[in-house]
Amino acid sequence: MKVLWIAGNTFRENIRDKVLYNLVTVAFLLVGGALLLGELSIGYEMKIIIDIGMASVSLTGVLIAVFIGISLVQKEIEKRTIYNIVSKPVSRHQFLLGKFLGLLFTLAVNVSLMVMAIFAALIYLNGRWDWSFLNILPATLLIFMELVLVTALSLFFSSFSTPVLSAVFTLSLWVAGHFNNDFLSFAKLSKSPVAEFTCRLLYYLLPNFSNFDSNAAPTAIQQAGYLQTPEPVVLLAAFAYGSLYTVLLLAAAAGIFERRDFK
Amino acid sequence: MKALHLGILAAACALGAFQCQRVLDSRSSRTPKEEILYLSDPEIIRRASLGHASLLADFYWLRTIQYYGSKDRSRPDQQYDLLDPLLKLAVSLDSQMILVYRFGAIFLSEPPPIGAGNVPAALALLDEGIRKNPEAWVLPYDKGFVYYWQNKDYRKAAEWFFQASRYAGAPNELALLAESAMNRQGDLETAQQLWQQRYEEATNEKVKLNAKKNLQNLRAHRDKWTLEWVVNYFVRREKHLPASWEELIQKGWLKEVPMNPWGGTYILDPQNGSVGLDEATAARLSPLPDDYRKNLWQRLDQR
Amino acid sequence: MLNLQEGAGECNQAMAAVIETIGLSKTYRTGFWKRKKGKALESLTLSVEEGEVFGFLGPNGAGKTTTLKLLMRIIRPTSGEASILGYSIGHPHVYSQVGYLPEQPYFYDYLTAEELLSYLGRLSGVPSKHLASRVTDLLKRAGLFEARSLQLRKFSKGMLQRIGLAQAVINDPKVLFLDEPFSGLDPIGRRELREMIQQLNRQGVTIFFSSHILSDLESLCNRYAILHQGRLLDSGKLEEALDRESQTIEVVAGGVRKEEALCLEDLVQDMTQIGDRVRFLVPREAGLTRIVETVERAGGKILTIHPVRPSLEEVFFRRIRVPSAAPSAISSAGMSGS
Repeated sequence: MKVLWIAGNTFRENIRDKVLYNLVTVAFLLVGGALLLGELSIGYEMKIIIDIGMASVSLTGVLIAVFIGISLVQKEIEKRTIYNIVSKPVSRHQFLLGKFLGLLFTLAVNVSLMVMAIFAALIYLNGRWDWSFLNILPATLLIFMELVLVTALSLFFSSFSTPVLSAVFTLSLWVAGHFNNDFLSFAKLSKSPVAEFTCRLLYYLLPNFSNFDSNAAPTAIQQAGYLQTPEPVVLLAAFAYGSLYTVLLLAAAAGIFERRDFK
Repeated sequence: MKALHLGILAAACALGAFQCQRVLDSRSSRTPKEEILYLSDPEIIRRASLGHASLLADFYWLRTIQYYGSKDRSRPDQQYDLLDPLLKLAVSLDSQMILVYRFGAIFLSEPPPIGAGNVPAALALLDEGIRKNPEAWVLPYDKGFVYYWQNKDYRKAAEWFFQASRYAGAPNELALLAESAMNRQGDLETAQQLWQQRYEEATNEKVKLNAKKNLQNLRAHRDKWTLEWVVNYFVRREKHLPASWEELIQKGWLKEVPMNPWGGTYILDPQNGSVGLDEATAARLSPLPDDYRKNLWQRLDQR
Repeated sequence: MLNLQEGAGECNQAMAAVIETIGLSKTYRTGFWKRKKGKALESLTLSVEEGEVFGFLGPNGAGKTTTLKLLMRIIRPTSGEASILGYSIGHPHVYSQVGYLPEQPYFYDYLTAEELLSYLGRLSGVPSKHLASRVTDLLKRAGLFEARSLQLRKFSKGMLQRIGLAQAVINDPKVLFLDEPFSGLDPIGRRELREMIQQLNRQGVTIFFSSHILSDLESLCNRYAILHQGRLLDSGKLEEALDRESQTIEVVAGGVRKEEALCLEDLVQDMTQIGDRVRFLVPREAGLTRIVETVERAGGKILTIHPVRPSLEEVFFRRIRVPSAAPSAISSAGMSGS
């Protein structure tokens, strides 16, 4: 229960934080731009809207997850507000989990609002609602799962590193995690067993963000431009992967956080 | 929660995540069915690189190697559709990468399943390289090589070898090579010389291996055709087919029958006098144009 | 330690130690490789009993805040143990009966006073049904009811201190920890706070507070401890300590004149005529017999005899062995207050 109160307060903080609004504004601008682009191009308006919309959801989400994520705990330590929390009957694990869930809630709201904006744009272009619009939801869920993992990464790094370094680490891993498959193909090509082992190790060790790519099957884009729904098994496995990796990172962060001194 | 509990939880999650990754990897739908190059306009990529075009060129070069390496070369219908665009991207992002032009020229021009069998693309790539790198003699030399080997256009090949020989720092042999290319069309020795040089100077492993394979193939053909020529000569003289190599050796026609380059033997068909390779190595022989055989026999006849 | 010093171990058994630390130490590692060690607190052993107002004093950097942070789990001890209300500080549930006001408290500046109190009240385990009335009550008592919907970023330092105290007592704590509660308060605020502490103590709340302003401590606490450079120098009951530390005795005699007692000049430190009385200041080691005899011989009467208590400040400076005239780490507020 206390975890939820902490989460609630974190959400409230995020909402009252102007940074969040700025990012949302950027996203709405992007979707607006997409509308304009849709007007200009011939044929693929809806596809372009979906592509730009999904890219906005993902990109702004990652920015929020990284930059709010690294300061979730850091800010409380720096401003000494954490003194009033840990001196209450609240364990540090609860605090950490609460902060994490609070940001997830913010991200969920953010993603939902943007999906609404995409729907609005699609209705505008199509002239009416079409149930096939809902096909973007699985892809959205995958993006959200990706954001959950990015948040966990930020929290993990910020549990022992400075905010700037945490941001660098998280963003690097996010980028590297999208090229993760290259490690596997390097491993297959490699002739030295050491190199092959290293490549394979890195492949399984680093968070594999390409698991959450909804356009991993590029042929799936249908004529109307709707993303094809990923296979249920793939969706499920990607979710399980993201959740387990997230719990892993949280456990590590909690272990480190437990031993920390707050200045 | 104790540290131990956290540790166990973390380990369990790591194991679970690993298993999920295995499941995801096993789904064929996760790997693109059709290969697509998302960005193919180098100018766009150059701008997107934010001033790191050279780095991106390295990236595309690695991609090229990966792409080529990922192909199954035992399939006779192997396609290399992305080879040309990938190479073009790499060199347009960094036009100084001589190796990319050379690698590309070979594997674009080689017929399937070794290469894309796209000679015009190979020549265009080399032209681009020659234009951007006016000091590199290897590029006109490679162009001559492609004309000589793939197009069998010996006049053009000679022109380009000659062109290459005029570059500063070019080896003197190039002029001789130009001459012999001009004079000896479909000459096994010239071909062997070309591949030998390529073999010796190659730094890229794939290029070296390819040269070695070609040298082996050339040697196998030379042996086979020479043996066939001996058999023909024997028939013309003795008016019957030899029963076996032993007969030819006993009667002084041959000193010995060599092993083929892959460690197998040459087999004489006593029914029609044709020479082939044993079953184990026969598949490794790839055909050469008949010009070479004609030239070889012509030279043997002159002896 | 205190119990042992007083030699009252067995008769004090009924009194529960509310706060107890045994060999509590904190060593900070600094420098890039964390090789340099700095001892912030060295083996602190003390206990505070129920109902006490315990004053924790020492110059800046003595380790007072470190001790409080250790007790509040903000930092982890290098070695040693501590318990509050009989539970080791590793048990979070103890803290539902604990209140804490950090030094120069800072709160979420995006929250209003009311939101902050309900949030922290929930975390402290105040039942939801009582929460709203408790928050309103505290806001009124802290004089912040009018400002309840104001975001904390607009609060003054004094208001922050008051909301800090309000959040510290939101759960009706049995033990209250206050870190430098008087700093940054104006005289009115300080008096209000003193009264509040006294009132809470009358209700049975054990109070542990640190200060470098000695006058605050002297007027409030009944037990004290002096910390200097991470070490406990002295602790005990304030009254006893002050008596013990007294080095002069004041004797007031009536019906005598100063001139009649001039023969005592070699004995007394000071002799003052006040109306028909004479006030003698006598060093403790000197006997009083001669004074009594002299006064009686002159036909006077001894009116009062009592030890002259030093101020806490004097005791403090004696402990840390800094001459009181010399500039020290003690703030000027502390000097002027005594």
